Amino acid sequence: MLNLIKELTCLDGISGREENVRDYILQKIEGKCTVNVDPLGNIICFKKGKNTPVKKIMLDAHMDEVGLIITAVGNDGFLRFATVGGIDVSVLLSRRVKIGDTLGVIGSKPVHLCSETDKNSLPKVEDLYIDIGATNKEQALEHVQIGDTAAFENEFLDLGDNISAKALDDRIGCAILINLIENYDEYDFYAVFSVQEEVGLRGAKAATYTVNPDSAIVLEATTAQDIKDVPETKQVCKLGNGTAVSFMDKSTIYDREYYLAALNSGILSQPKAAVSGGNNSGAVHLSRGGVRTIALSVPCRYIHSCSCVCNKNDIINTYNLAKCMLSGIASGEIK
Amino acid sequence: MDTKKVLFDLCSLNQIGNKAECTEYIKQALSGIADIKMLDSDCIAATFKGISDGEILFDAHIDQIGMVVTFVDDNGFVKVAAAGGIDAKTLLAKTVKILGNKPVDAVFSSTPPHLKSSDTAVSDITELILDTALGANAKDFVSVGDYVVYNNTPAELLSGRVTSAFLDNRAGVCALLLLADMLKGKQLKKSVTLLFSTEEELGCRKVKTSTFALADNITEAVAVDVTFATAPDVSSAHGGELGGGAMVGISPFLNANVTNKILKVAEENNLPYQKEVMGAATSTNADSIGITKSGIPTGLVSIPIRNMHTSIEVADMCDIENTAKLLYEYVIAGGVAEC
Repeated sequence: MLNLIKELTCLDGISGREENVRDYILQKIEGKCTVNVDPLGNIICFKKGKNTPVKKIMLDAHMDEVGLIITAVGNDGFLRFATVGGIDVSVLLSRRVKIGDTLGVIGSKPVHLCSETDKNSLPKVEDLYIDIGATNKEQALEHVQIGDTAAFENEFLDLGDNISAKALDDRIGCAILINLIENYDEYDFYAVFSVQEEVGLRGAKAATYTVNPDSAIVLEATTAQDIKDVPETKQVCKLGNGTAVSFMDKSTIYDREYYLAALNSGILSQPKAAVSGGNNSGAVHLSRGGVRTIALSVPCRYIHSCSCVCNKNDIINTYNLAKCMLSGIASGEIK
Repeated sequence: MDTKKVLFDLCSLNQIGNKAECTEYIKQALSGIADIKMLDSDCIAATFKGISDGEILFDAHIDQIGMVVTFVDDNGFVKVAAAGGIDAKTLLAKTVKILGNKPVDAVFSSTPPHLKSSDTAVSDITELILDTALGANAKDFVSVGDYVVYNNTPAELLSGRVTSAFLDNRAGVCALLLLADMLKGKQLKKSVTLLFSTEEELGCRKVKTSTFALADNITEAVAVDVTFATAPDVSSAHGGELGGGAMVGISPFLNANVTNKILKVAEENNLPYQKEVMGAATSTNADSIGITKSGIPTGLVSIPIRNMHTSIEVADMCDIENTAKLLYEYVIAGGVAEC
């Protein structure tokens, strides 16, 4: 699982440009289930199990990650960009990015030249620039085009009980879903690897229409703020305390029975103790006449940055909990 | 000599506190071709003997900016103070290495946009939280007083440009090693001493004690450091052009004869150069060298870099090579002082 996550985070797949991640996943699941790629680029799979479930169940993980899109190339050879998805400007300063195979750096004014105001305020994204070493526009355009996307350079670190990498949101979900396709064969299920979550849950909307499920399990990474000096009441969830199970966020009120079943499954889990953020559930649960939905998330510190941190046991627990919920809903044991 | 290899080697080393990997590298590189002298606090000097009594000193500082651990808690979180000028707002969600009793990877905390309540920047490094993700075990490896450094992998950009941490001042150190390679085996009129000094980033400290130790023989000096290169947020009033050649310092703090000689040598040898004019302090080791003992005529040559003091400094390797050539021609031209 860890190696799979490492390989997935080394791929760049900014929203709308998920092809590298999609190709990798297609190759991993080849021959293990029925596979369709829909017009938006979602991968929709059907995995035949030993038993027919009492409900049609869909699992979702999104392939895309937050990043940048090149908006202009200046005469000086510097690239200007906009953000794709929610990225705070503070995690962009002095970062390395990859535009395809081209390495660039996001420069910032040296601290020696900063006024007091400069020091205490963050620049605006539109004032930042990427330096690829080009000395003029023509040279830059040999390597980068307007509309290309840029991703954080990945630096996968094994931190003992934890890992750090870019795009753990939501390559962790993708890795869990690939593992389920490979190893789970109790009941039939649909698996969706969706596009464009980070820009407004767009891929999942179309994919859920196509699958037309009764119930859905969304696999995610979610904010953990269990950091020194953050008050207990604002920590959301904690690394190492198991899967974060959502009851409500900015896009969804989750199915109450599924929420309680997940928390009481006997597998280490914790409530996502804040009404913040959102995920594909927002699109999934409103599909057609409504879909009963639960989100199972791996707690993640520093989400939407180049250095997300997640706990290895939380990943395994989330895989086990997804399996348990899938069987529970499929068998009718979870009402 | 392969500029990129030497530069990348140098940038991959740590020279901070009791870590003296650059000192060791330079000792290995110059032993056998120059007389090596170990000085105060891991400073190192290498002398190429000339036939007259005159001696030119070239200084480049080898130390780097970093941080130092001030607090470790039971949940694996660490607080740090700056060791040199670091812009705290460039550190959020950045990985660094703690040089504990084993190297420990760690990530500076950040707040994701979903939960952020204000847009003010963190300007004080002591407010930042560093996360080892080791929980209670962190204390087994990390102690108060350990140094923290950028997790650095030098890389090449387009146009012979490179990005790395510590180009301030490994670019200058690289130029002096290229110079050493050119001086190797040559018969020199004046002796040349290359000084690699420490603790510049904390206020030009050890260049003072080192130059004091060497000063009796020194007749003139040139400090070699980095300076600002222009970028969209750095105007030409504050910096030189990346790839435009070495920047020759002009300031009341610098000796006019040395400065003029450097400019003349650049012109005569068709070497690209730029002028960097300062009204007083140059904020480099040149300021201290010039007033060592009864005074040493001192000049300054700087290599332009972008994003100074960040983990993504950018330099042009041509500027480093042209700086080495300029210093070499200065030596061949015999410097300024009569001897």
